[in-house]
Amino acid sequence: MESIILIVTASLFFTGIVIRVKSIAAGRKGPGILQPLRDILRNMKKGSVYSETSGLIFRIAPSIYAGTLLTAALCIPLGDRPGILSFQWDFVFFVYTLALGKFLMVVAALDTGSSFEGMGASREAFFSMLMEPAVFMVMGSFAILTGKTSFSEIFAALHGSGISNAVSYTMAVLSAILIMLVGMVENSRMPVDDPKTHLELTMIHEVMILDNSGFDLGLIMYSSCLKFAVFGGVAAGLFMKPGAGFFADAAIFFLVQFCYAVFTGFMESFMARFRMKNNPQFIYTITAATLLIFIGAVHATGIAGGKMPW
Amino acid sequence: MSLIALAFLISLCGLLLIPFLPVKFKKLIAVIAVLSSGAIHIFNAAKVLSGEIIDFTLNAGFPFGDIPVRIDNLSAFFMIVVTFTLSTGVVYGYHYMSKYDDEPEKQSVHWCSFLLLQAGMMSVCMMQNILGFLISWEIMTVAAFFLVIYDYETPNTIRAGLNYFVQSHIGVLLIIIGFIWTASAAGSFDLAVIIAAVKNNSITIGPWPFMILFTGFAFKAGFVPLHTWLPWAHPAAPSHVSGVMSGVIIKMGIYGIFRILPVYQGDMLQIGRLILIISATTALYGVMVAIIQHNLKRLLAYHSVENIGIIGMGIGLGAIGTGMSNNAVALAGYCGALLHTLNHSLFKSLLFFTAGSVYRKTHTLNIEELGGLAKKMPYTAALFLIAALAITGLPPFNGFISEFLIYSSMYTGMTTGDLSFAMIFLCCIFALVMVGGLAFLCFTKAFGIVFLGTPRHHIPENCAEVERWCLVPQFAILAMILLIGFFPVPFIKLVSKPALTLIPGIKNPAEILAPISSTMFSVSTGAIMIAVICGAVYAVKLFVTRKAVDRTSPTWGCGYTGAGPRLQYTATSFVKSYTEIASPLLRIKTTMSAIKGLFPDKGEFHVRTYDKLEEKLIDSNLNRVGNFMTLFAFLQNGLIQYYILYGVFFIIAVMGFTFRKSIISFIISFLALG
Repeated sequence: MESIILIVTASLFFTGIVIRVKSIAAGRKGPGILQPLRDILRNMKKGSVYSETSGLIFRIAPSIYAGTLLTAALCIPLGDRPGILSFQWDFVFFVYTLALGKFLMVVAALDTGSSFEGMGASREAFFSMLMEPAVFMVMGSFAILTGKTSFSEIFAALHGSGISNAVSYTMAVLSAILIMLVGMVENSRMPVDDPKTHLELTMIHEVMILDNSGFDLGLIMYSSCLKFAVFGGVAAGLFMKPGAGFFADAAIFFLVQFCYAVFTGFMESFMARFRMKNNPQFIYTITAATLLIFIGAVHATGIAGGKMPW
Repeated sequence: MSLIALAFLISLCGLLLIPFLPVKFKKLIAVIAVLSSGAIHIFNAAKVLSGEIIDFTLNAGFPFGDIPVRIDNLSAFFMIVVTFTLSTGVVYGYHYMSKYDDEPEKQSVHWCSFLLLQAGMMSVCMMQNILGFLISWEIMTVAAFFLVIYDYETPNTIRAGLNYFVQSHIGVLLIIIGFIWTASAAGSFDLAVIIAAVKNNSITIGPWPFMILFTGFAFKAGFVPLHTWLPWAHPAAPSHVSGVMSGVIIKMGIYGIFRILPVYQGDMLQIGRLILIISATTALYGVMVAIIQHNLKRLLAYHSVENIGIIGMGIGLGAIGTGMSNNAVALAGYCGALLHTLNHSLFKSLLFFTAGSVYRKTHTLNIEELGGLAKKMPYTAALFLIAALAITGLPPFNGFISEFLIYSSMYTGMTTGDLSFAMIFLCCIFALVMVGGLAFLCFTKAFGIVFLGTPRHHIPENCAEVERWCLVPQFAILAMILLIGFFPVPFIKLVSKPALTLIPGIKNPAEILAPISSTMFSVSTGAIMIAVICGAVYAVKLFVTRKAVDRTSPTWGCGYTGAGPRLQYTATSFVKSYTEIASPLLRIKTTMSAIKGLFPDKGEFHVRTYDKLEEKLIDSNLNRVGNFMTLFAFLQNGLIQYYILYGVFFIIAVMGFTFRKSIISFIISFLALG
């Protein structure tokens, strides 16, 4: 219960911090932290312009996208306090629920019959296909490491229950970075996609939502913030110690979210977008790096000890 | 017993009546016969699942002897699955076939075959005698063949049908060999006797009979590389038949594998590992090839291969769990496999029915030519969308439930097993996730291109929603999909009954089932949450924008105003980035003539896709066999005299072989005399 409140709170400021970091890095004055929120609210109040080609799918897809994202956020725990939805292998549910929203967004883009949006939809479907394994591998490795089965149990058992701190924190840092990268790819941010580019041919997510306007556009913009906060929430969970008070956990939570936002901001300030062709390689590099966590988990638990078949 | 006899009697009556009635009544009788005998079969199956045992011996006279008819939990489960899809198929087919009403003879054969198919499948489920099983299996296979070749005047159809016929008979051959082996070792045709003998090691047959039987059934089920008949037969058949074929006929292969699993003698871990790896390959290959298909039904056929792979993964996990004596892994694996069998029969038949509706209204199945059908056929589009979401394995639909079970089996095995198994499970998790991702790509393409946007080609003016009676069976399937997706717990209990009989040495079944049930209860909560939250967000949208004015305008063309339907993304371009990285594993041939010069000729671009495994394994070997056989082509010279001469040679050879001793002794004595 606490976690969803914190995630929603973090989502309100996340993009604002990213933009602040970018403007500071560029030496600009830049907009305030709450500017993205104002944009979202302004959009939400407006009426929509719908494409003549589009039908019902186009009108309900953004709502389902946001709805699935909120449902997925319910799975995220705050340290050892389970989320509202917490059960065995809930991370499978988490990833598949996110995929449901994305499915609807992709077909909604095709609903407009625009070649640009088809392009975006094609890329979004392709990259999310490549991206899916990473979270499964990370959480599966932690399941091996801790012997536990759900988000909250894994986070509760990660530190201070038999596994040496050096191992658990090393793995936590590595996985947190990977999960943040997954979040950035899922959100179509740098280095996979540049949301600020002005050429439709090179966009992924932005070109997919070209025809959305009004409330729907606001909802999609907010969903993007929420997605950052959700992945940040997973990353934060990796650092929380069981038994620490709510405020300690909340402090860690916001610290990690803040670092994530700053990281994203710096990344977007100092890096150029990859060529579209190189994106699959980058994404599979993330997946391959999750194997490191698997190997770490195997060694730390001694599954390999004495039983190695070779 | 009398009830079972009654059900078969109804089918027989239908069979005798259909040839003599006018077309309209042929169909009606077929529908009535399938539904009523199906109701009796379901009643019997429900009795068995609730604990009653149906087991009696039928004396069938001289060549067969006593045939034990036995309905256990496994048979009962498959009977329910088969009957449901057959019933929806026959009701859908009633309208689908109405465009062929001017062909009464063909329809007689068609509907008679349908009734035979039902009778055959039901008796496959019930017979536990090897001979009876094989004969029912043969009836089923031949009936399906006649159903597939309805449109036999088209050369492609008859080729696809023969392809199916030959390949399933290679499967039958293997099944016969395997069964003869086991039967002669155990000295009985009764499967239960054989299994008991294998279990208490009174006979030693080793793993080979199982392997042969498995290969035989794998032909039917369509495991890679034995799947090649499937993508030909499914598009060739009328749509209600493809739905039934993909939904349940290939599942009989799965039933066979479940049935003969106890015949395996040896280390369960090894066979489980083998099945798991074969199945993961099957799933990946099926979906990888599905993505590049342009014929909607062929695409769906390759997805059947994929889903058979997922079911096989569940079976493999069950066997591994049994081998590790980890009941949680085994139960989740078997339950996942059985539930996915049910789920796949639901969403795949629905997909084929909707594809059939599209074909009926637009006369094409080429994805590249379609588009914008959601406006003309809204119900069909909605049904296709939900079936597509379900087959992709997304919550809150039924495909997610069975895939979740298989995931949970793999993760449980990974956290409790040793390293070599952790590695295998990790690879298989990776494979299953990739299968999900690829299916996502494939069905966003299939749904998005076929039903959304604007038509890419001329679509008939009278293209409209199908008749109400065609929608009824489809909505029945939809209801089941939603029911399983939102309330999976009763269905888990249903599939756990046959699953538990497959796992030896369970003392307290309720104890193993409890964690799965409670997890499923939470999943069900999650599914309801998704629906509620999405609904709530949409309600908020309606509330906030109640005063806002909505407008419509042309799609934003980024400044370009001459955009027409031809500028839309096509199916090929949608999956282009995928085909680029996966091209080494696929066979795609493009021919194009580029547009050049100031006054260019008409440009062309053609993409043809083919199954690389089929080309390498089947076609090239067939060519080799064909080349060898042409050496004997001179024998077939078309002159009847020669053929009579061959016959005389043959008779002389046979007689000579029979009397070889006396002939030789005659020659010797002749020579000695001389």
